[in-house]
Amino acid sequence: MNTPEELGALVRATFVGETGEFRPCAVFDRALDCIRVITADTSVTEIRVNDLLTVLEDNYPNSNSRKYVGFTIKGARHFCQQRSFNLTIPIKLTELLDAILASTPDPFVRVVIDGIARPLVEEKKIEPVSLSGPVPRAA
Amino acid sequence: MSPPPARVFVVLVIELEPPDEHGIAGTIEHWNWVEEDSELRQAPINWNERYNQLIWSR
Repeated sequence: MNTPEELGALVRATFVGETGEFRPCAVFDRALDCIRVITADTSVTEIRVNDLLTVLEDNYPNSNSRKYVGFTIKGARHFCQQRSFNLTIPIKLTELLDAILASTPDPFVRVVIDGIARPLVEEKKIEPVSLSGPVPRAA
Repeated sequence: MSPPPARVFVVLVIELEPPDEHGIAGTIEHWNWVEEDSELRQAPINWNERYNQLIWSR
């Protein structure tokens, strides 16, 4: 593979039949042990809140859109294991957010969870996310 | 569309050592915009906590 055109063709071939309309979702990045919740198909900036939580700010908001359109939970699997979550079934994000709240006295984290993260999960009806499966080994 | 102001685009790359059979020496794991550091222009915010050392800057 030597050219951008070849790379583009490879990407299109890989995802043929899998393209469609964007929908709000939560995905688990196994390689980085991170849950990403994204509710808008837009460019975002990651704003760190604490070791666990980062919010996603829309880079090009308009007057009708939200400023914050998602969030990430870093070390999600590790955090859930520490708190004895059952990882064989998908994790409810509201329960995970509750556990994060219980883990810290930081009032700023409460503001972010109650003011940004939880409303996104509930209003966009974000489905539970599976953290099961093998963890990739470092190269 | 212009880049968002006061933001830096960050790419997280994991090195493959040694390179694989195709000569690929690393994989891109993630990319994102982050806030610009207040002291070192065009570096990500809190760059000195993210990286072991400064190896290049404008």
